[in-house]
Amino acid sequence: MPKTAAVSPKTHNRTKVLLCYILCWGIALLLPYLGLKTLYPYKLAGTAPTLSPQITALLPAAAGETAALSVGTDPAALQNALSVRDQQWRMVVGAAVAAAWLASLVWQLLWRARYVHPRQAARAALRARRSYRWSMLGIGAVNLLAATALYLVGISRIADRGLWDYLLYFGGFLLVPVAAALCSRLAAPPAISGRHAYFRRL
Amino acid sequence: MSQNRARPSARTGAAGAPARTRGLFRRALFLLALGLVCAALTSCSAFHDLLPSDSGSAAQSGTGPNLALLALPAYNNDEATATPAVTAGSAYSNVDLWLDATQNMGGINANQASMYPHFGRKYREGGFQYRYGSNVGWYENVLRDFLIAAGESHVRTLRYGNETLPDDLLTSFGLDTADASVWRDMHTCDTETRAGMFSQFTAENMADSFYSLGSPLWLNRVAAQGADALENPSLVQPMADALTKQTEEIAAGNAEYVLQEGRDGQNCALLEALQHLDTDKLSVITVDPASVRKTEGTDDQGQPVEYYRQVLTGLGVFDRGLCVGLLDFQLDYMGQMSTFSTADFSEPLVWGRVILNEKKQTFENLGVMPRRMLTLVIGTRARVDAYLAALGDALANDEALKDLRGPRNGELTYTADGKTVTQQPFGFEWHSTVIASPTVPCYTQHTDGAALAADNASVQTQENGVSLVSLTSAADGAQPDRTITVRFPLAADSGGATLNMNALSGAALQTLNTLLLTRTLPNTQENQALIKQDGETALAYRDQLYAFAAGQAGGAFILRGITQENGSLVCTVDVKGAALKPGYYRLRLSADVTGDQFDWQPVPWIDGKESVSASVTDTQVYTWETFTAAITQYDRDSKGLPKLFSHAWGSFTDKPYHSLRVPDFPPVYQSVHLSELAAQFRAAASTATSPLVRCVFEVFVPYPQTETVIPQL
Repeated sequence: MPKTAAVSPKTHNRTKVLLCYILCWGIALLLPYLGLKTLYPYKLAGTAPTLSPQITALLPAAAGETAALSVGTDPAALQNALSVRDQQWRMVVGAAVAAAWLASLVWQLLWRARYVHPRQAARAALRARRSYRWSMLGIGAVNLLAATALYLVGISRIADRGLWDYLLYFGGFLLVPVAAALCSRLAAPPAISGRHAYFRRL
Repeated sequence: MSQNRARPSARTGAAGAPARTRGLFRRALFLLALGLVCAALTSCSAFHDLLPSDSGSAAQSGTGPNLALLALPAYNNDEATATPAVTAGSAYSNVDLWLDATQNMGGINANQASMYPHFGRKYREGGFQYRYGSNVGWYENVLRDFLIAAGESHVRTLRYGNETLPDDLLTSFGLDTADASVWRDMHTCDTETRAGMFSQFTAENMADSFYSLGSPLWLNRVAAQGADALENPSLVQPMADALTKQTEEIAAGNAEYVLQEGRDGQNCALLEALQHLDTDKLSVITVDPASVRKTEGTDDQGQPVEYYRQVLTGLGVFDRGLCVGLLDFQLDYMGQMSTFSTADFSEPLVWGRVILNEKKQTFENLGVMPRRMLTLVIGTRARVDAYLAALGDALANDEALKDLRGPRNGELTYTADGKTVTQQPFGFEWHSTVIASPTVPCYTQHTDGAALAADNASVQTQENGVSLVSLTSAADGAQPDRTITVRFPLAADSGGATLNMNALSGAALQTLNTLLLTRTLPNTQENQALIKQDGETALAYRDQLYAFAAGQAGGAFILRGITQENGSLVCTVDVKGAALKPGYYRLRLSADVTGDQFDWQPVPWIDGKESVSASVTDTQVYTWETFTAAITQYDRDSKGLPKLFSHAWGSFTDKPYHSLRVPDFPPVYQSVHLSELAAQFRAAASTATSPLVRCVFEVFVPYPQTETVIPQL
């Protein structure tokens, strides 16, 4: 009897899962970063709102460079201060997105970990679908909470907000739940996933 | 058994592990939810702190580029008012006393062929310096008072008269013709003047006296002075030699050494002396107005020239902050005058004489007549004021000046305005005024009390003292028309002139710098480079680049006028809102003051009805010269004038004299050309253009529909 090559679907699946996670969560983090880094200076230049001192004090560039400016301040110093303010604002936006991203990732991994070794796969799959919906609701809530906080902290102070504002500032909070959903649906544990199941197996 | 035992345990294990996991997970979720709730509750207040305060929000709510990032070029105030260069120091405490030594001053008839005697044995008809026994003219007292007024200052006396020093003479003795100090040295009579010298003038015989033309005694005094007291000690000998030569030439009748009247008849002793003033000293110049000839004429190109204005301007008297004190004295006079202004008489005028009892031919009284003498005091305002105050005190305390003089019984008459005037006893009197360059302060943005206001705008003063007017746009973002007003508290007038605001013609509003929005481009790297390449300033806002560059005001600001209101100088600027562009304007209000913009306060004794000034027309000169020529022609052989004409041509008469009407006597009792001289001094004083307003301010026009975006970091 001819010997067939030993295939380890388990190993193959793990790689795909890892790639799926990296791709989804990486994109969810990379796109907001690129938006703030490359699009912001050309689409939203000069729109950074003033942040409260409690926030700026936590930021690396806050100390020393952000003395109170008023009318009549030297324009060069003002220019510098405004650059710092832009930088700070982008850091705050990035931090909010990153926090939401991290919380969502942890939440999603916790959900996944729960169904890595289910005893009764069919029942576990049913429970996983329910818990997945609740998890997505939670992840959505986390992102909504972060977006709301960001809105209250700064976005609400920006005048003439337009599509680019919402896209750059809230896009990250939309991408994270999408990434969580994709990872949950495509990279679920083998025990609860299948080729034609609710949780597709890569 | 073992399998049976194991199954339940296996079942228990298979079912128990998920149950435990599920329980743990539920507990973890519960704890997480509980923690989140607790965190949310406890962080509510903390989160509130993270919100920006409302006070700062207004500064952030603007739209459009942040124009606060723009900066006009640094403003350099390069218009500091230049202080007139007034020479100070010990040298200035000295006084130059210039004494008019023209023949009219000394009552000397310069016409040698004259029929009338000059003086008698007992008396001296020496003009202002007459003498009869112990009686002398007031002029000698006035000269003493000039010395008293000088106080402790060293008084150098200079004699100026109708003698001249031709350039050829000076050059031949190696003297610099252009050096005024040489001229002054050669005219110096005494470097340490004492009052006794004035008595000496009076005591002299008429011949070779201080006032005689080419007097050897008084012309050449250089060698008698200490060399150190002169301005050119090393030139004493050549100067003395030149003066000896001058005396000899005058005695020989060389007309080159006697002042010629000039093309327009303007040359006279005063005009010559003024050109050689030492403006570092206080100069006191006595002037017989009858010796002043033409005051204005034309130059080589036919352009009108005011000679005395030209001289003072050339000397820079008023530019150096000096002033001219103009004094007029009514003195007593007894003597002859062979010239009067531009008139040269064949027979001298006789003005004042000793009145004798006709029967006994004995002295009855001294028929001195009133004549006026001018004096110019040139120096700094403070020095002139102090000198005049001291002179006033000296004159007031001089008892010799308090009596009345003149014919007591109406013995002497003359004709004026077609009527006979019988001279009555008269007293000494004097007037003075100071003509100084009108000093108006330059009103700038730094002037105390300067205030800038504008409709619908806020005004802030920047660190460099320049006010920034931030205009506020209307609700629709448009800039309305408005008015900017700059007020300065007016300073007190000085210099005898008041500023006529209605005549201000040099008022202007200049645009010094601007930084205005010129174009808007998409916010791309290429456009950022393009704007930088064009030397413009770019402001990025969202996806647009706003390019700012220096531009024209475009008629946005129009100076409506400068007026005087309630003691304030008010500059009103109209702002046309439609012509404004977003950005910054640096504007300068400027107004200059020239002589035309000053109204000189009238001086009654110069300008008013009580003026002691008199003018002489060419017609009058012709009439007088014709009449005196007729006297010479018809009465020279008779060895004496008709009695009617023996003094001042006598009383008015209708009878013709050899078919000539007897004219009015020349107004020797008035100050000839006084008003013309004063006018030229005033004109010279107000020649310089002085800055009146130099106020710089900046205007900020926000981007439409925006507020000023100033970060509050």
